[in-house]
Amino acid sequence: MNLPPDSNERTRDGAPTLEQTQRWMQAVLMHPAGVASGVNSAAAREQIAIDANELEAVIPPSSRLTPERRLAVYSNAYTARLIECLAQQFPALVATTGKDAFADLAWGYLRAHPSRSYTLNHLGAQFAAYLDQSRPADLQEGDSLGWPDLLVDLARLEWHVSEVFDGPGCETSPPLGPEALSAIAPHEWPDARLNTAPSLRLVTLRFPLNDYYTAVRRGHKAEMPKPGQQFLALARRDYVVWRYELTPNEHKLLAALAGGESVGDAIERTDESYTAEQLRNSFYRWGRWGFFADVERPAA
Amino acid sequence: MTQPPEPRLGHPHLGLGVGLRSVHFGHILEHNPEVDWFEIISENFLDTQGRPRYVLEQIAERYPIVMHGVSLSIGSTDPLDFEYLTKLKQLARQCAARWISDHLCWTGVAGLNTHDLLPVPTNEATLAHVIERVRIVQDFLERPLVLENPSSYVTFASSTIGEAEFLAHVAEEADCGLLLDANNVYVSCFNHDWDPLEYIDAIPARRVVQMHLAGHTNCGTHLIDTHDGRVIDPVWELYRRAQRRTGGVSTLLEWDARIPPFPEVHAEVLKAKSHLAQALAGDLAEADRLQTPPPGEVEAGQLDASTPVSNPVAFLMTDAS
Ligand SMILES: [Fe+2]
Repeated sequence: MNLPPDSNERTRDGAPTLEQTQRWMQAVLMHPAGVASGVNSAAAREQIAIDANELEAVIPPSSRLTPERRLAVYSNAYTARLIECLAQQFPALVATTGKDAFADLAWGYLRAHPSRSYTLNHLGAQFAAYLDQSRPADLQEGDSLGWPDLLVDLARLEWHVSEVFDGPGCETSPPLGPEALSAIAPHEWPDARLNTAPSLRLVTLRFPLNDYYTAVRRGHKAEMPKPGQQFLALARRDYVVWRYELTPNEHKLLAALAGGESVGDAIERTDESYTAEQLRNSFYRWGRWGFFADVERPAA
Repeated sequence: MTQPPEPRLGHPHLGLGVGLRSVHFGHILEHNPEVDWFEIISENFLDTQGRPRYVLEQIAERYPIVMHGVSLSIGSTDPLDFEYLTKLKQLARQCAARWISDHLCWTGVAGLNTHDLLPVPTNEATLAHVIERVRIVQDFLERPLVLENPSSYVTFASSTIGEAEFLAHVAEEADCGLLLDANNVYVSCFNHDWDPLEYIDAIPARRVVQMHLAGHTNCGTHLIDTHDGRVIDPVWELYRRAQRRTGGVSTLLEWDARIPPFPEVHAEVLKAKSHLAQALAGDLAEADRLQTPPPGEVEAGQLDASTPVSNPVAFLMTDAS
């Protein structure tokens, strides 16, 4: 078989190059107002300068469909497909806003942050930040937290859950259990450093969303929480993401440990209401929940 | 010009397989169904260190795995993504992938990804471009690539070569394999007024490593490749015709939207057994047109009220609940 001559004849004939065709088609099918507006857009015309009524020069009709309707199969699918993917990444948000409002938010987001990756896993990475920045101006008066803030926090929580789900875990190298923690001698504690498990993630929310999230993920109706700070720790065990509520002192302590401080220094950051008994209980529970990968004992 | 290749490029005939989908993970791990092999969507496993990867390890110990990708974008004018290819190669090693396939398409340009499988104008310039890129990818992966014919909804005025002939040229010149999707042949031929039998007959049979089967949605004026239902009779007919020419290659059923319980998906691909036997027995008449009538005209009332979405990808999303 002979390879047909490698020539650019057609492009010399005035037919668009492959690159022009692709840039043109992408501009058309990603245009939010549909095919005709896409063809007439500057981005498309920069590649192939035709009007919507001249489409046949690039896309011939079929026996049943005009070029515009053929292209619309792609442009309709682009929107619907990616909104559905985002909905799968933020199911609690969908349950909270309703499908239509979610689709509007998602579409705005996808226009501002189109996918640049081979994977869909990162599609929602900027969604919470986008919701934060694009909140309606009339809801922005004063300092009080409102509906948009709740959506932002819920989106952040859902994104953290999916990152912990897909991120590194301890499933093949068991974390320190309560026994291993109690084997650390009392005099070693202050200078010991506890390396937190790779899946551990600390989340600070402006609304107590933990129970609400659980309820809507189970398909239950739930009362929207009033503003109020909530500290959560997320961790993965046996490939399942668990969420734990923390007291403010527990949060300070864990955050300091996760930041590499010694146990003694980390405890310094908590206030005196945190009793020794509570402290012991906290470490015991965290051992059971697999929050620590290993311990670095002080040099003897 | 290369020597005529071994049938299936020397790859084994794995039998009848099913596309691995996360909704079926639990069932498969618990029941060890008697499936010949599984095809995974590569992108589902490239970036996870969580449950999907763990499940794949378990399944790869029990079944042959084939990797099918959707992000290679072999036809794009953007540079190849070597980060992606590096991960693909690692995953292939980890799950002992029998082969790696993707589509004759582009997914985006200028750094963007539409996550769709977009058609290329089939002309000489594109042909040279695709052949060069297939060679680079094969050198990097150190194995032949297997390319699938996509379903498409537009054609280009700048196309000068038939799609099947184009695939034949790519396969011969770049020395790669082909994944022949009988449903995609049917869908594209309907949409573009092409003859599906001519299409099948123009595919170099010895280069076909694998076949795909799937369901689609009839929109009256066009068909959309929705992967959400059973395989219709005309597609089975194309399947038999193709398998008679290949002498029998691995067959896989794709079911990606409105996915039923595993046994139902499995039962659908098992129907291929009798079609394959008929094809290989050689008692098929060499028809010059499809013997199975296409489904009748669809009444407006029968049409799905919601717009069907081609190339569904939502099943790629992991459910972190
Ligand atoms: Fe396919």
